[in-house]
Amino acid sequence: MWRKPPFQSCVIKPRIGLAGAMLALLALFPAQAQADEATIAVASNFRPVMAELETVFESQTGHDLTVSVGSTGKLYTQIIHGAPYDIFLAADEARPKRLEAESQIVPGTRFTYAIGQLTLWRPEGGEISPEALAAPDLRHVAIANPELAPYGAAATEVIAGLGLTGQLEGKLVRGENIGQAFAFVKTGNAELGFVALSQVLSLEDGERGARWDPPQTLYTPIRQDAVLLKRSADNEAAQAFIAFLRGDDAKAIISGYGYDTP
Amino acid sequence: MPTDTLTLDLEKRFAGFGLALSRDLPLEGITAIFGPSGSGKSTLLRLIAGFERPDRGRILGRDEVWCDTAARRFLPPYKRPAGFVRQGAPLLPHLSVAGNLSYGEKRTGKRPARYSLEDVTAALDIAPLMEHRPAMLSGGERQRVALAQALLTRPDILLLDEPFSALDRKRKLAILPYLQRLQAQFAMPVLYVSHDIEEVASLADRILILEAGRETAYGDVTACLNAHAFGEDDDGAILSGQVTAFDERLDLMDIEVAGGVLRLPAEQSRSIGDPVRLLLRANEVALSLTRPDGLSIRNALTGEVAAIRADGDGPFMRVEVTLSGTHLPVRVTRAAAEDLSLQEGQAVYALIKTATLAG
Amino acid sequence: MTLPDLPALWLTLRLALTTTGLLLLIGTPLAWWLATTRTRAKPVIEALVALPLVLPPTVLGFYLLIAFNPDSPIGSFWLSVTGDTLTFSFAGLVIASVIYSLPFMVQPLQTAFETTGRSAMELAASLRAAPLDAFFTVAMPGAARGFVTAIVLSFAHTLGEFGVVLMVGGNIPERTRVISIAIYEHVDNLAYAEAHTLSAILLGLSFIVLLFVYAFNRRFPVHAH
Repeated sequence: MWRKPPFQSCVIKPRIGLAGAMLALLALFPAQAQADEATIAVASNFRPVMAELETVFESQTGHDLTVSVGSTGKLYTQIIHGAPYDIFLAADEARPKRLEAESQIVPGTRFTYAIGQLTLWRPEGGEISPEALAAPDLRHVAIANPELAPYGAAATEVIAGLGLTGQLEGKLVRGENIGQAFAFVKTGNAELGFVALSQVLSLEDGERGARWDPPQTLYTPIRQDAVLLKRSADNEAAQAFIAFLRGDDAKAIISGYGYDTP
Repeated sequence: MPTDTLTLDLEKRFAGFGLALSRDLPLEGITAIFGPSGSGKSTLLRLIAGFERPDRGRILGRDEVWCDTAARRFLPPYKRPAGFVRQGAPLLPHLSVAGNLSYGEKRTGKRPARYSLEDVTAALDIAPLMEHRPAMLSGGERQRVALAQALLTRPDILLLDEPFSALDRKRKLAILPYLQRLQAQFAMPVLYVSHDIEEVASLADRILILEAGRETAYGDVTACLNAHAFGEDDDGAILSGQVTAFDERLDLMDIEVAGGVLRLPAEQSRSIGDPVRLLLRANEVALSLTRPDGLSIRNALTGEVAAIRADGDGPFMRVEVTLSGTHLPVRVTRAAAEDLSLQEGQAVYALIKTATLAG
Repeated sequence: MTLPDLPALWLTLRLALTTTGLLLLIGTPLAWWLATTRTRAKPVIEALVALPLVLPPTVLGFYLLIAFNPDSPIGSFWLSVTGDTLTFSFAGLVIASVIYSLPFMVQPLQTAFETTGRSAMELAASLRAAPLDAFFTVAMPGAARGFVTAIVLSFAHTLGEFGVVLMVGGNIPERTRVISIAIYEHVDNLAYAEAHTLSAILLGLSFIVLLFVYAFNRRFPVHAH
């Protein structure tokens, strides 16, 4: 990262002189004076939204974002082990809360940026209802690993709420994250899956299949919290992105992808 | 119909090399296949063993067709009654000597056993080695076990592909008598590939000389070797002779050859009347106009100069001496030839520094 | 170790043993064929066999996920024969592991067969052994070292397999939740104590297995002439 020109290590030819060399260096990095960079760790389910947010944000501010995608748990582990992220967009509120408790974030920067919507989905069209889960010939239902991903925990809550926990035991196949659960259904290996609404909406119109959105009463809201990490308190680009994320432009984009916003 | 010949009529082409041969070999005695490396000796043996397929031709064994491309017949190697010992004489490393010997013997089925395991181990002096692992054997011991192993498959013919080439001269000379003993004791026909003149001269009953995949001579060992085996760099001659007397006090024996009698160190295995072959090398023979006196060299043969020619551009001359009909090339310096005023037809004595007794 | 991880350990051992057994049956003739063939297709087959060495396991897992789905030819055939899907099943894991560990079985065997191969087989043939007889009585004993290396490496490699299982396994306890997945889950879940226990077991197992290979190879040097 070229935050500051490294003139200390620059070999200067006597004839050109120090001022000339400085000018030449400045000419090489014209954007460095105004724009800054920030690295955003993003939960995998939020990737498509982030892509659009990034484009809009970069064109509005001239800042440069680097996006790193992974499961919330994995990103959390990386962060506490010193990964160079500036902002963490989690897919839950538990890890940001834990980071806050561990004083890893800039105080007061934790907020809910999106509320995930769970849906029961299959790639074939038509109608589906919760009864599809009780069908005897059903072989596999994909969920995210409830130990690791809030969408997985939400899915088990819905299944429990429907009273199907015992019936589905042995039929539940667990992806490492919601992305893998989605892939299990999309490739036809599982007939049904509890996935993120945002994933289904990111498909082309003709591929969206059939879905049933469980009522919010059946599962704890999947609050997705964002935090500004402590190491980046002075990063202008990161601060600007936090502000952008709270603003109406960002909220409109986020809603468009199948999330609620606070 | 059983015959006592191995009929070969073969063509085999490789990249940059071709073998074409048509020859009936008698299934008796030792037949040497001789030639420089790359002449096709090993390929011929591998064709006979069945490890290679000819492009065209046939091989007829004693009792059956081993290969006939026209009739699309090909007897796989394991069905051919041929024992094969390759270079270095490898054994089955995971079996003891006894295991190696029985491996082939128990797979030969109903072939008549003219000799027993004990006969073979006794003839080759390997009875004390039976429990040894191949890795523990010396080079010479391994060769003898390999010969026994091949013999015990009761083959119609033994194919030997330079089996002793890895041995030094002393060990090689020690093992050759075993081969002759097998030949005598078990009447086992042997086809023997070699590029060593001395080995061939000492062992073979007949010879097939190959060059660039073609037969250049076949038949009597002495005549074929003298006509084809010697070259510019490695000149000499084979002389046929006969043991005529033993001198027990001096431990010498007399051998009568063309041009006189040579006295050589006695060998126990010889008896009076035995035919022998002597290998004389051109640069181990000197010439004299008079019978030698006061020299350590005792052996002198009488002959006359048949031809004198320059041996390249160097200081040497090549003098062709005729010993009552047998040619002997002698290498002398140009200076010596001038001193002696050597001329064609002149009577000379060929002084033999060393004579290798072979055969 | 917590009790819930015992099935994962047992499943992993079962998977490694089954995979190694199947690989022996498949890999031995394949390695022999590669060691002796003169066909021009040999480099193509060799490259295919070696692919799992260089491909990220997730690539293989992704293709298997597609190939195994119940609507695909392979997946539907398997479903109609066994009544079970290939993905999310032990059988699917075995097939995936067989493909993934194939080079670890084939390459040591091929090398061993090439070393002792042709000359030993010719010797056996000249001693009247038919090809299959010669294979079992000469080529296989001659390749004993190669077999030990191949078996142990295949076993150890399957023990530690992660990426492919992650892709096609579905993390079902007692069916597809192997030890490496369990470790991954523990780490992600900050359950470091459990992760430590399982990791130490896997490390110990792998070390013992490799130690066995090297000790064996020391004791039985190659037969050389």
